[in-house]
Amino acid sequence: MKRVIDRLIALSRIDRRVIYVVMLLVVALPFVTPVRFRAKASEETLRFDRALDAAIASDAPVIVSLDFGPQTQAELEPIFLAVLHKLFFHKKKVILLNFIVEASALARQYLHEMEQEYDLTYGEDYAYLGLATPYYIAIYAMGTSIEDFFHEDDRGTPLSEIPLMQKVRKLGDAAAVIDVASPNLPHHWVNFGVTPYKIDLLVGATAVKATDYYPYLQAEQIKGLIAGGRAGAELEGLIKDQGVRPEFGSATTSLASQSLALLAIIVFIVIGNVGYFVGRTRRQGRGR
Amino acid sequence: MNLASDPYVWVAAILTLCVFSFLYKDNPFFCFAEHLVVGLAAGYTFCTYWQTIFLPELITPLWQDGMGSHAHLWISVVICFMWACKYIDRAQDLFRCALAFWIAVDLGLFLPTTMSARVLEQIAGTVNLRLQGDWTVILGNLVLFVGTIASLTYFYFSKAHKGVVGAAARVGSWTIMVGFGATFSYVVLSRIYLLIGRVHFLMRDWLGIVE
Repeated sequence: MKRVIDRLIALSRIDRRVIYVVMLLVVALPFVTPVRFRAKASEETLRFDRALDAAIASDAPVIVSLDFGPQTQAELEPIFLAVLHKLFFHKKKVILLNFIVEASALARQYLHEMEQEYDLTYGEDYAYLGLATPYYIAIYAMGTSIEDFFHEDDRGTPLSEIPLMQKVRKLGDAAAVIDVASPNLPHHWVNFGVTPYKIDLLVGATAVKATDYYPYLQAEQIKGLIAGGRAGAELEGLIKDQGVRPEFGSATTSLASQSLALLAIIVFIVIGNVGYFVGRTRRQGRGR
Repeated sequence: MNLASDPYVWVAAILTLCVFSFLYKDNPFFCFAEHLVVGLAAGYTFCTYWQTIFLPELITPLWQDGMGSHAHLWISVVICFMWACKYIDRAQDLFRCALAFWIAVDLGLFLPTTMSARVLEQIAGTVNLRLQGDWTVILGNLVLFVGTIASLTYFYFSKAHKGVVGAAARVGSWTIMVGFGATFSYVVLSRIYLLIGRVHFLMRDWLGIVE
């Protein structure tokens, strides 16, 4: 028994670098094994998908705001691509914009890929308005007139010369606004878009931000929320089942790594706590 | 193994390893990568703002018709210079005026919308409980309602936390802890995803050992 307790205490004092190596291994190993997991869609993801379907059923175009950079690309890219694939698969017209600087390059890259895959025509099937800043003033201003804020699109074309923009003069003309964001932008969309102009807002967010946005979902200020890589995998599964994509995306590929990593973290937490309490009990015993 | 031939992938992979090297200990490679990121981000941000905001929205219109239909843009120019007065000791008041203007505009925009979006709508969302349908939904709504009231009680200091108030405050404290726990677990989940993203990049794009 004494030996077991000694081992537990020693394990709880393990060098942090050993933990990093273990984490690296548990994340890397599933990629080279044939093990693949699939995420079953939760009620929240189904709710998001239903809201997306409702937007697609409408005649009006959809506004998509891309607000993540390379930092959170691994987590948010699957959500963003799943949404974009579904919209373009159903021949939905999309107006894209972004509020953070580093998203501009990603937006151009994704749109180029979509243009090739779905044979899209710029200005008719989609438009990219470019960077909007400062975000809250931009959102508020777009509620009354998009053209007054964005005089021209990302390519320098005046909005008056873009056919798609003739259908969407202000935020309220869009079927919905979908914001896939890593910073706090959904807060501002709720503040300056949903509250004054009653737009339908769907949010894709990082897991870190999920708990910030659940109250909005509860109060139905946002119509759908999809947060984190796991939810991204659920959405990928849904759109595959719906025939939008022939195969799963990167979020589903990462599920095994994510599950193993979380399992490893739980094991480390248990070892650390057991070691701590056993050590404390022993110290108190010696103290007496 | 099918090593990448794209030099940009090699640069990205080497910089990723430089950043990861910090996990062992602080070192010059990590410092180099850190400074490079900060410098590049600052340069990229400046150029993007210059190209997409300053040039098309301010400089070009003023150059073309600065005394006519775009004359109002001179106000922006004046405010820009007032901000720059931060660095001139004798002109600090001008800077404060620009700051005051900015705060006033922000307050004017934020106060009514925030009050509505984050206070009134949230109260309505909590009070309008749906006690119909699946029992899990009903239970969830009840937990939400009780948890909200109990959490508010925890921050109510005008009455001693004894008896019913004390019990409610204790429940509130637990509710807040559960909330923090949920947030923390989501943070861990997000950080794991960042690691997965980089490992996937190294194994697929750089080393070519994953399809």
